[in-house]
Amino acid sequence: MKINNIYKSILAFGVVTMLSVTSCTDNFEEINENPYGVSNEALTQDFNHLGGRIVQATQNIYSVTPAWLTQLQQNLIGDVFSGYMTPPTPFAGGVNNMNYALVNGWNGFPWSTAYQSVMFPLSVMDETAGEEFPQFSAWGKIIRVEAMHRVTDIYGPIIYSNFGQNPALYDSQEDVYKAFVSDLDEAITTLKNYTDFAGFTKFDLVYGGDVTKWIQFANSLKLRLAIRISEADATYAKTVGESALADAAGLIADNEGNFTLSESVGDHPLNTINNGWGDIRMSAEMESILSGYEDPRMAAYFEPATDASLGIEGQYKGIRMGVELTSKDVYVSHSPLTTFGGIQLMTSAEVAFLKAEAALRGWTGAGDAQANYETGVTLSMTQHGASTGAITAYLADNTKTPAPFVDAVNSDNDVLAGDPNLSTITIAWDAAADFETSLERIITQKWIAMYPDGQEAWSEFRRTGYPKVFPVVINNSGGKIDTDEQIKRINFVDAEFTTNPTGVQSGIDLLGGDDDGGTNLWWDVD
Amino acid sequence: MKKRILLLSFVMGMVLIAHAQTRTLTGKVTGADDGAALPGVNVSVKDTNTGTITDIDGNYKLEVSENDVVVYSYIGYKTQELNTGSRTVADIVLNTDTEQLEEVVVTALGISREKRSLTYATQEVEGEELTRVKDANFMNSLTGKAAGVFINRSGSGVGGSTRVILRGNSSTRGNNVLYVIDGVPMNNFSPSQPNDVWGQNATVAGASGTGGAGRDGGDGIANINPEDIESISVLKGASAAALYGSQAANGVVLITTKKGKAGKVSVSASSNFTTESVLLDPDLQYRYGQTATNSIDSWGGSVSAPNHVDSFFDTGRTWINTVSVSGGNESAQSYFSYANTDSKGIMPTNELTKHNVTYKQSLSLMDDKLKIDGGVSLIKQETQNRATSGMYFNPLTGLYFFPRGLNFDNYKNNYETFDADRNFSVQNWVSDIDVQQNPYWILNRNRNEDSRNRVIGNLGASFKITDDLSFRLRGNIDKSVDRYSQKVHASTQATLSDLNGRYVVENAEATQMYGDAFLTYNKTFDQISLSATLGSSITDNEVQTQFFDSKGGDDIRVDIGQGVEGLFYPNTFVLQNIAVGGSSLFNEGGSRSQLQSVFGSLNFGYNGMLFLDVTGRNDWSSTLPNDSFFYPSVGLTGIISEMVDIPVIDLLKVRGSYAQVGNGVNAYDVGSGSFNTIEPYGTVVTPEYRVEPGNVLKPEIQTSYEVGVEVELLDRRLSVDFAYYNTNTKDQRIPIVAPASQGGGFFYINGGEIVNKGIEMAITAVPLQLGDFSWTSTFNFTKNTNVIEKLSEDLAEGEFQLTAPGVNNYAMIIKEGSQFGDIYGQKFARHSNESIIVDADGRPQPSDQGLEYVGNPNPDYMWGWNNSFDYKGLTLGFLIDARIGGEVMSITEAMNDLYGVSGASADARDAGGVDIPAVLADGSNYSGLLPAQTFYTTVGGRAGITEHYVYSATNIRLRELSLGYSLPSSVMSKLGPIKSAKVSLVGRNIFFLKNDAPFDPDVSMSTGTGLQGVHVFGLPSTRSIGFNLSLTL
Repeated sequence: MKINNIYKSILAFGVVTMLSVTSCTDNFEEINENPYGVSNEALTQDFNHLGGRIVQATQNIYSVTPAWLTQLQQNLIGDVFSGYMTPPTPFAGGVNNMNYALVNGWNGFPWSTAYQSVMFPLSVMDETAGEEFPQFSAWGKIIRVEAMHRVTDIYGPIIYSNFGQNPALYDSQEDVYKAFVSDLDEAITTLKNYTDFAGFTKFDLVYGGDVTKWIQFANSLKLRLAIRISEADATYAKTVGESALADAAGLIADNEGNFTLSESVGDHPLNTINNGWGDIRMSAEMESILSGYEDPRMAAYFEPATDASLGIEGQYKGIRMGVELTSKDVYVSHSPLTTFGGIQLMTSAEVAFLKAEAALRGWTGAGDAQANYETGVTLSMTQHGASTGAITAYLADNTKTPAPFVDAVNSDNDVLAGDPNLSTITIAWDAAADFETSLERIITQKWIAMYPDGQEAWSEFRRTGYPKVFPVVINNSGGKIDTDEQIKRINFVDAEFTTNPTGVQSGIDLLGGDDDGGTNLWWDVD
Repeated sequence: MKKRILLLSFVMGMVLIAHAQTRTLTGKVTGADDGAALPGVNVSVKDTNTGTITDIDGNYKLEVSENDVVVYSYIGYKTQELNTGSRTVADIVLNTDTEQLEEVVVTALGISREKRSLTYATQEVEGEELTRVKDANFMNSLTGKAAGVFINRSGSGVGGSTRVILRGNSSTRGNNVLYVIDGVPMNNFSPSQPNDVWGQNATVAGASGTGGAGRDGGDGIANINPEDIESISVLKGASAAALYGSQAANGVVLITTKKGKAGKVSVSASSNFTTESVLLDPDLQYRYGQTATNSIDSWGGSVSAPNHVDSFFDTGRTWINTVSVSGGNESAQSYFSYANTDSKGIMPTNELTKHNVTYKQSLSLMDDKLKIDGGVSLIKQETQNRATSGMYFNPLTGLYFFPRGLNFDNYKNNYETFDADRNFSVQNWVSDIDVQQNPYWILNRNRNEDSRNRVIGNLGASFKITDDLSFRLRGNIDKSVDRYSQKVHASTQATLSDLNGRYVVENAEATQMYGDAFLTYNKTFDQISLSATLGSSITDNEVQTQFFDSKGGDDIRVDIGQGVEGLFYPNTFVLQNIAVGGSSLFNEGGSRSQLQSVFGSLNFGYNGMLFLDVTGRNDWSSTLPNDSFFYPSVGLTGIISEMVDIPVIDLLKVRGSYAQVGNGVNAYDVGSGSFNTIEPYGTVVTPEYRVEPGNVLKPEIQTSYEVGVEVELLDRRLSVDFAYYNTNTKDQRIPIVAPASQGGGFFYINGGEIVNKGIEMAITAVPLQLGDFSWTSTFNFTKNTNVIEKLSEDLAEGEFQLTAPGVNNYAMIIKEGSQFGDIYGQKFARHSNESIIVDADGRPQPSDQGLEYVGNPNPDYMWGWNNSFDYKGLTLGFLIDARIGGEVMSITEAMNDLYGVSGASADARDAGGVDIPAVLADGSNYSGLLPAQTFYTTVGGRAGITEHYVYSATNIRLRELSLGYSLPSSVMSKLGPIKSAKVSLVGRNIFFLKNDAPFDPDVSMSTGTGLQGVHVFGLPSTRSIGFNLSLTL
């Protein structure tokens, strides 16, 4: 009897155990919730669901981290093609972007970073911000335009108005630029109602929450876009430029207003690429122009070379793009870059040069071309610590020209005096000079001032042809990119052909040329 | 011995003479194995209740009548019957019950079954086979001993983990087998595996970050004390493992551990000592010097440099000492064991110590109706400077690259020099690039330590409700705590450390709780036997990690006067010294999942000749909270030799089975869309990996069938087991690149189908048996063919990267129609006549096709041949195993070539150039040899023309060799309490009979899924030679 009871109780226990196991899956949802992050719901506290997205997007206009991403997003594209910097490293067996063998594996990163880390978080923010927080949406628009104009300036047609669709058709570059302008106009209008709003402070990596400064940046950006398309659609460009110049909120006028990401978001990736990896060095053009001008900014931008065996120790020595690199050792001891603080994406000097060009083009409200030009030089010189005396002397100098370039290793790479690729442009403003000479003078100085943002400098080089960037010595594009015309764009990215084939085909149709590095962008009118 | 025989004859003589009616029978019971007295033996008169048990000395006394039959029974021994006749004294020698061990195998859920009734292939390996030539991770000892089992060791030396794959790779996520110990699935937790060619860490269970040195954190199975193992059965196919449902997709290795035995107390002790030395030296040159002063490579003129590499490696030594005690009576049995492993690796400063303590207790109550088992195992392991693979924090890069002609001893003895500016000693080395440092600096000033404390506890009860029906209940907890730290001193290369050094701490806690309950019913009706099981189980897995890294990533932060980055005070390694708020990485991660199941099985047998198995299991997984999944299997076995009488053949069995199992998705996959990560500096980041909106994830489903034949003939001296299998794994959970227009990143989808098919054959033979001499030989053969049958068209380029190339010219990629694990590399540009294209300087040109297929590391087939020659107490054993076919790549060679330190680069210089047919771009011949430096600096390096570094993976080696001697009883009897003693000389990895690769192709950089078949400065493979002494008291 006793035994029987034990049987029964054990049996009962077993059955209960089995049944209970099958009926307690109710907490599965809870178990399967990842606790090691933050949910969308939790983000709404302190408006992080809005501001948090702004922060992510701001940090990825030009990626703060990791440095290898920035290297592929910009350093091995615009920073090189602009004539700012050249890597001593023979990446990918020495056959790569630098000699026009475009590496698709690298060149998708400007695209993927923009969509994944700028467009996506901002669209998530727009969904939640809705009608309730128009100031955040407006802020997001400015950041989006700043980020995406850099993307269209690399590829041409891009996904912009159709973001979120699948498939997503591309917009032509003309349509994209017009959409940028209207987004900036909407943002400016909205933000003017929130100039006292303090809610940006916590999330603002650039202006510490000062809404007015964002409006000034938006106006400056609008002027940059207008100048960019001034040859492609002169009438529209003039309208846009003049509206920016006329806006009561004004433009960036001093170095305090420079669009520079606070160092608190992380060290400048160029410091890693340059100091840590030794993967980037001064370019031949920088050596030629800065040393030719005896420019006081030389020491602020570069360190002297260290190679005693080549006899260049203590000199500022650059590397030409597209030369033969047998090993990293050969050129790595050429001039490194100096150490950078915050990430600088627009300066007051650039705005002054934009106004100088606007004046040259006769746009209302631009002021005097010479005054703007000299303001631009002065602002840039001041930013980099030059003395007033040095600035005055520099501005008055009408004899110095970019110096010939002598390669310390291989004379095949020299650009000697008289070479058509060596400019003879001087510094001092010449009121009598023709449009083209004045334009070269403005753009050359703007090029020096915008350093190290090679993406913007490359765009301006393609638009104007200034300053004269030395053509590659080795061209591995297989005839797709003309050596003298230089690279015009980057072909559309691999991932689009598999994930959005209809879309990328629409982009190719809109491009008006082959999908390679030799096809001009819409605003790049020869 | 002679004495005993004499005594026995005398006693037997007495018995024959004696004649009585009712009398007292006395005697002594001893075991045949060691001649020792057996206490607690049941001695009873057959068909009566009369009985007794032997005393501590094995003596018994029993009243018997004439012609009574006395039965002697004892666990683990064959029951013996004795016709008493008229004797009054009967000394009995009981034989050990080996028959039972051969016939019965342990199957899923720990259910013992007759091997002949199984409908699928299983292979048993006895514990002794694993301990004969010991390895600190005993799974390595299984290499070559079972068909269908692919084993790769990690390159991290002693204590490293092992990659065990059964019947080919079937999943894009994990392919390692499920280990089941005494019926309970084990959590084979590995806190870390290298993730890329640099050698940085895999994402640590949800935590991001590079984590300092790329390390193999060891695995759970390596913790087990091999002396505790009774036997291993390998359940290769899904049919065998179907009862484990969604955990079983990769097959199961069932481990049965030793338990206490009733009766005599048995004490065993063993001591194993081995020395390890380099088996395969890297081929390096010492005759061409540094290129120029301050150069970091060696393309200079002739020098006569000493070989500084060979003397760098130490002779490793490993002691494994174990002791175990087992004993008890009919109602309570205990088992206790302790093992101590103490090892110094061939890499200077590398040490490992491990302690294993196991205690097990079994109780039989209520006339054996209720049995209670409990046990606990404690494991404590500490490792100093575990060897790393990859290029960061690896002493081997600097060691190999060291410019020839400079004085290495100067850097060895002065790996640091005093820096007056900083007032402490800083690194002294020839270069400042991320991929190399002073090897002695790394060993002494980049030290890493890891430790694991683990406890496994279990408790189970089984109750015999009736003779046919029993109920079993089990619970188990397995908890391991891993701690890892790396202390990187200031002046370590800047990619790897901040100005004041770097401190990395990682804590991982893995907990698995398991419980099951089931009813089993066994009944035989005339010719039909029936066995049924119905049960339920729950498994809860949780991993929690904490990760602190003062330098979160390989970005180099430069002192810009904006406050401190990394550590406040140099060379001070405590968490409060980390400058929080910079890009230091503090990360908490982990995962939790729960699996609940109901399962049942039915086994019918007809007349011992036909067997039918049906199983079913339904899983509910927390990772897919809204679904449940059913996994069926069915199998049929016919024993032809029972049905018809076939001459010569003792057993002819045919079997076939079909099964379906699954593999859930990962924890949190499903809800990933609303999850934001928090990055350094507090940035919240939108989800990068997520399920495509509107899509639903399913578990992977593996469908498999197998057929097999078993034959035993010539009085069972020859047996052959042959199997053919085909498994198809569908609905692989893979991430695909999400369209940029949807936010980029990755979507998880079900999108792949992988087929593995192959044959396995095991032949066991006793080719010679002459008197005391016997030769036993087993041969096994495995051939597996893998095809990626389908892969989602949504994948970029239709391919899935198991290891992404990053900035290196190595990738592991699968594509539709390809094989799992294909290696991609950069090829040469070739002219139509196959000559490589070079430029005017003789520089080879890379192909413009990007990375292309260059090889696959999986062997075409493998075999293992294990032999044992026994003569009296002497045993000679050897194991030769072979992996034929497949290709591997060596980034090590490529880097050594680039630096001009490889043997090949010197040979080419000796010969005046590289002799490879080459043409210029226009197709005209390049005249002469290709200049060595130009050739190797172009082709070499991690991003050169890696096609040049692909080697055949075919290798045949003498895997194990042992010579053992068991001391004869005549000697033993003089040794007092020692009952048996055996000494052996043992060796592992003795030499290659064939190997064309410059490294050991069996060593894998990672035991994860990626990085297979690539060698990136892994520790050279070692040969172990030593001795083993085992004693039984």
